[in-house]
Amino acid sequence: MNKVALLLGLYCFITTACFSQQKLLNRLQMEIEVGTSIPIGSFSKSLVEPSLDQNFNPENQYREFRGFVKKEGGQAQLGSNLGVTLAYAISPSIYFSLNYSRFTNPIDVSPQENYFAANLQNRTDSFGNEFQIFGSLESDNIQANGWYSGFGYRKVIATWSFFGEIYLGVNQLSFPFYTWTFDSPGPTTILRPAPFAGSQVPDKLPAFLYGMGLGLEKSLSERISLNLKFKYLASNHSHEYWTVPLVGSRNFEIEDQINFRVITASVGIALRFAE
Amino acid sequence: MKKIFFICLLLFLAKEGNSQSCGDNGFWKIGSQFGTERLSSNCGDFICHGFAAAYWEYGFTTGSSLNTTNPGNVNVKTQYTQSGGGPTETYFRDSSLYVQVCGQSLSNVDVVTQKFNIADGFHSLVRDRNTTFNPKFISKYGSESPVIRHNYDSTWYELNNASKTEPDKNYVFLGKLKTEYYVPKGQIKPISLLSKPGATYSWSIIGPTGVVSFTSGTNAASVSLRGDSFGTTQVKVTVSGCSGIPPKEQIITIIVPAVTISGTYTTSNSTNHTLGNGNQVPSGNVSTYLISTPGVTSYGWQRYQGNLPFWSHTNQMHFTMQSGNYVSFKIYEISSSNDTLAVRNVTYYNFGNFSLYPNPSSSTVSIKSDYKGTMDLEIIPLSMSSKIRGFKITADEKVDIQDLPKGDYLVRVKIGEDVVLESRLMKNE
Repeated sequence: MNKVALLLGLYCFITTACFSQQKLLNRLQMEIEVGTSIPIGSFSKSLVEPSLDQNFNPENQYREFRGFVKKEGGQAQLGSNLGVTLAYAISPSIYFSLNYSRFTNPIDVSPQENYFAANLQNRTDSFGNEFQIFGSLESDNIQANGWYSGFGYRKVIATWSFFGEIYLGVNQLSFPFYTWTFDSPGPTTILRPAPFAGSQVPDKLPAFLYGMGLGLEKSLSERISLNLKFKYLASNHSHEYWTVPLVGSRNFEIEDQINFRVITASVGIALRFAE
Repeated sequence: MKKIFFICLLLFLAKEGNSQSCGDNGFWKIGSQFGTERLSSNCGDFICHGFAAAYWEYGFTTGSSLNTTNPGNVNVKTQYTQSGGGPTETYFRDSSLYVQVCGQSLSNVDVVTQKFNIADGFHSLVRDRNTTFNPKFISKYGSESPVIRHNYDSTWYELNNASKTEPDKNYVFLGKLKTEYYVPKGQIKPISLLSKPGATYSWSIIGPTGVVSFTSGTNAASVSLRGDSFGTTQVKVTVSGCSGIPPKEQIITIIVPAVTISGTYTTSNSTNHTLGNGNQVPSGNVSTYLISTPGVTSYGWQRYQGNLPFWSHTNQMHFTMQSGNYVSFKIYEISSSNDTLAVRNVTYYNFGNFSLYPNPSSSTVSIKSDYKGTMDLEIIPLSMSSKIRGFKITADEKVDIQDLPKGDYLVRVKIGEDVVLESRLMKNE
């Protein structure tokens, strides 16, 4: 719904600018940017404990993994972002912008795998025999699509301008699907999010997005300029699902939240429509 | 943007495609070559432990029965679903409804718990109760497999060469006692667990004594309790299985409710007779009304002797007495929870018409009656001081009175304590 509203707004802007009032066109600027997406705060932190069985029974001897739980984190690594901005100058120093950013951040699964290797790989059965189970975790990257509007202030000094912005919008995170594979001397067990008990695995995780940005811009000509922009963007994506083992004897209900926190550093090229 | 989305979607579907659905006979190793067969296609919200528990405790709420010719859906009771917090691998160890037994043949085992060398590799399987000789077992693996019947050592794990990391544990299902039992005073109530080989039972009263007493042995799966006095007490049954394994206990509360059955009845001649255990009533309509008792919500009238038709409704009962007939009822007072709080036996009887003949007489007298039982007959002199004579007679039996002096006598006939005839007798020479 939010996406539709934003697209409609953008369409109105463009139609108005192109076909109605020439003055509006003179105030529009389009920009493409590319850069890094740096996870900060809990979004980059690793927590193994929430992924372990929360109803551990000592008789089980080994506390197994119940899934890959982010618990207000994300275990995100350095990634990339790609963005498009359409800005409208309300006055020489104040402007309004519509923004789309796509973020991609790999997820670090090594803390869980290392924990498994250290604590759960080597086992002894009740007959005294030693055996091994190898656990491996695969996860999709964090993929997010942010649609947000911004208000900015610009200070122009000769061919340079400095600007600051605040953002509000929606961030649609793709659920990072994952799979645990446990290889043992016998069969392989797979644990992954799966439909269960009437609940589906979430696909998209939309959430309110907010943030701010700072940058500087160098005009190369009347119509083209280059900029360097830093943004801080945040959104909290709560969700729940079940992890279902193929064959295993227990399923786990997971209530989770990914707190998306990134700083993007991007370079962009802007095109002004002014004649 | 759309392309990226569709690529992601395809990748997701491709990954999902690698997982096995419960319809895959190959993955689940279903077929006679494996010693297995599919019983149900349900991949529902229950796993092996919940399935095993429900199999013995509740059966299945919906779906077809387990059979091979018509595999269908099987659902277990809500509390045994996985999302409903269903049983885990320790359920049978901890539940008082099961006890671990040792040294028993598989035919006597109800549930087997196993542990395999895979992550979270606990498994529970149940004996197919329809088979005893060469028993078959039923398994459900996780929430994604069908329900499978198989030979004992042909679980999915064993067919995939997983080894056990602990010895199997065998359990028998004992059944579940109610938390409360009502035993009416003076009545005997049987209480039973299931009798299972390998299990030993011991019953004891652990609450106040004198309320109930055992009328049977206390070392069997079933006992009988008699309500001795109004009150509440507790009874414990301890069931032992393997030596060294803690026994299981179930504790029940026994209530002998302070409820008595009383009432009145009306006859064709009079009203408001207090209801007794034995009630002599005249021929004609008889209506009985029980006094309402707190906690009693319904009544039962069971005719156990006689064949007179009757009509009962809640606390009232009506019938028509015939001359020389009788009828006996067991009256039950029942609570809203359908527990019997009190029981009382009452009998209504009518001795019919009695007459003395011949009268006057010089040799013998008899009593004419339809009554078939014995009667007490007394001959009491009215005008002289001779002793009272007594006889036990039946109808039409002759009583010799030749040696009685001539004169007037009172003949009194009694059945039990009831005087059914008083008549003047004239003795001739």
